[in-house]
Amino acid sequence: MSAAIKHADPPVLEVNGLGKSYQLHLQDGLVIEVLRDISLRLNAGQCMAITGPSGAGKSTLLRCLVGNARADSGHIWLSTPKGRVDIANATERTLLRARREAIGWVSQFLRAIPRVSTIDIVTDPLLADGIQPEEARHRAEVLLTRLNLPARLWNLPPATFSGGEQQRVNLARGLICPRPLLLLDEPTASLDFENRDRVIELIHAAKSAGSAVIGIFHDPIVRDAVADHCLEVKPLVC
Amino acid sequence: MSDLDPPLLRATGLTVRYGDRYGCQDVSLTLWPGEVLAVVGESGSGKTTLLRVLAGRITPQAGTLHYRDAANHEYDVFALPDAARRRLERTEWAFVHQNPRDGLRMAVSAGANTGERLMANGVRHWGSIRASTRQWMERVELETARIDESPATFSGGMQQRLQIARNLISGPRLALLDEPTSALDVSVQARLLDLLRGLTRSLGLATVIVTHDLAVARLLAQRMMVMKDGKVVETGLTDQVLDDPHHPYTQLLVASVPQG
Amino acid sequence: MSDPTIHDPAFNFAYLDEQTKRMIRRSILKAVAIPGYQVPFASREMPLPYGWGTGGLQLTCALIGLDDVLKVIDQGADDTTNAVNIRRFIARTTGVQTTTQTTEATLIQTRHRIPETPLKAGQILVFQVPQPEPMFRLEPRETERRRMHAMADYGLMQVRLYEDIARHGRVATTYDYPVMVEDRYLMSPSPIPKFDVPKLDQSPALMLFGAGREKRIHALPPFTRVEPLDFDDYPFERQRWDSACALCGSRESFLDEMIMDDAGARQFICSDTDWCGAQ
Repeated sequence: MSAAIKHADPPVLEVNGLGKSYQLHLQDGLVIEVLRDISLRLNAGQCMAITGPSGAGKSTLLRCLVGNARADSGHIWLSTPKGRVDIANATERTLLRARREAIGWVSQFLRAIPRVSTIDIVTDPLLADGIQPEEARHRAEVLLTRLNLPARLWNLPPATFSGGEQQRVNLARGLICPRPLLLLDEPTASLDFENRDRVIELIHAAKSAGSAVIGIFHDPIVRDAVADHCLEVKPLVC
Repeated sequence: MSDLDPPLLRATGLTVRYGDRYGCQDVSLTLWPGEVLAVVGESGSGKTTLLRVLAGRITPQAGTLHYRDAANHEYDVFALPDAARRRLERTEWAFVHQNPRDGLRMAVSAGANTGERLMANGVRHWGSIRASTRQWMERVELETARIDESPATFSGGMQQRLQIARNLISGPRLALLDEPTSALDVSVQARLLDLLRGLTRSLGLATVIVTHDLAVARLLAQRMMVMKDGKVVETGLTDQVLDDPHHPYTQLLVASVPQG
Repeated sequence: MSDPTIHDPAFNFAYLDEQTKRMIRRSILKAVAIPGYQVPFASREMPLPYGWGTGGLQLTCALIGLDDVLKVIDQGADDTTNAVNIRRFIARTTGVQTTTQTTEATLIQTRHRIPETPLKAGQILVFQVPQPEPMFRLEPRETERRRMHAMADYGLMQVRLYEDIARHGRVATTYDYPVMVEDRYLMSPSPIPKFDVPKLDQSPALMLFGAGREKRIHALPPFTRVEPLDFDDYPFERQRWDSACALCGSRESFLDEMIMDDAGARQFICSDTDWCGAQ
């Protein structure tokens, strides 16, 4: 699936009554409720910013949307190329497929796999989509150049890169393939102004291509530049 | 990969008892082609027993195990005649032991170790056996110049890579790995793990890897099962189980890993 | 042919008691029914130590009758100590006629050679076998070897040949060369030279192999398919010599190398004494 996403009438993402708690057995089973009854709808081409104070659960919400944090209640309906999937209740295989085909994910930290080069990390989603290796490499190089990651780093594994360089590798991997849903967790946190502006351009491009974007943006300039809606997550614990 | 693909391996209710103790209790799992499943637990968790059952090497007291072969026939593994199981063991199945000496013939050369499955499966052209073994030695990053040396002269990491080549040369579809890196030095482990990662992906191998090391699970497996005292206490996608552990034991395991 | 000896009345005909002969014949029948398969038998104590042909001797004694003509050879020769002793022993306990001529014999006991003269239907060749198991050195566990035979799982032997070629550029085995019988069992043909292996295939004679110490019998009924193991690109080759036999000029027989004097002069002479004499 490499063409631009079609604008669908039903929302790309529809969340109803999402709830998530953590039970910390190592602390005598202390239950911490993080999310309660969260609902949202997002259409293709739109961007929603998740806002709220630190520790309120913004990251948890994002991680629920990708299925990394397991929701306790509610539904997370995602429109994938093969139909609607409830991320909150999907089987393992369905969830893996949905992630592969429908979700782009840029986390705050890059988990670097030893010995895999930057260019291989970035071309991976393209190859999984069936793009030919040469074409995939070309696209990856264009994107990395746009993010100002110097060519001398392309064949190196990112484990030794600076925070900002790793962040840009993360971004490249998350943005290289258009996906119906794009999730961004603090995408510009380690970047300078010039690169921040590049990222804003890339988010705009993703929206134009039809992606629905949800992000946590610590930088109000970025948020104001890209977000069409905001969702505030209020802390549940006083 | 479609959701309609039939699974490669189906296990239901596998139970192995040793007198009063349980090796593993009521374990069920399904594995599809190309998936990597990590079975994680500490010593005594039953993970190795489970792996041996999945390999058909231990007959459980209860439960069933079905394998779907390359011709799309599904077999009850424990109802297979010995000859059929041995044929699968040298064609479609791979089993990598923790200690490479258990999975190699130390008295024959590296090349002979690697090529044995081909010979056992009826390949009779010496030149082509030689060429295939060289290719596979390269693939696992062993110097082909050492093709005629005994594995006794190899380091642990090299022996482990040789064991992998020996198993993979027949193009298996199912790989069972018993703590493949535990016997190796830490600096050597990363290289081997990366090799495994690359091979399982490029060969589309359905893999079950038993490990006590969560980092290994995170690196190699999409799915994970946590075992304690013979029982499965938690399952899910690897990132789910490691980032959002539910069961008290899983939380303990995850918390015990030094973050770094 | 020699004059018949008188059967010594102190011994039962052919030394073994009748029940033992029946037991051995039953084992032979089973071996013949499953060509190449090693049949266990209750090997008896013979007046020969283990390693001197007790297995072959038991087979001969179980089968021999008054109208048989016996030939005994050791490395192709009728006149070595071993051959002479065995021949005299059997003659003494049976009174049967003996010969050195392959063409006249009905029953031939041999150590480590097959006669050059082609065998005929109705002849029986009894081999003395030290170790009947071809995979003895490759796989130390007997349980595993049995499983390999049961499932015709012989990759390991092919591995051994592979190693030879890798190390020496050719298969280095020159005697006791492993063969496949009727495409089913891997068999050791006893320590006969490679040169003799083709004589096993489709022979009109009945070939019986007896291992006394290991207590096994195996057999090749007449006209059995016997193929040496090899690789397509390294096919089985018979041994060849540059010279002919110094005594009879034969270029077709297996030649022994003899050192003639202290200066190291060599001669090549037929190992099969009967064949050599007849040329």
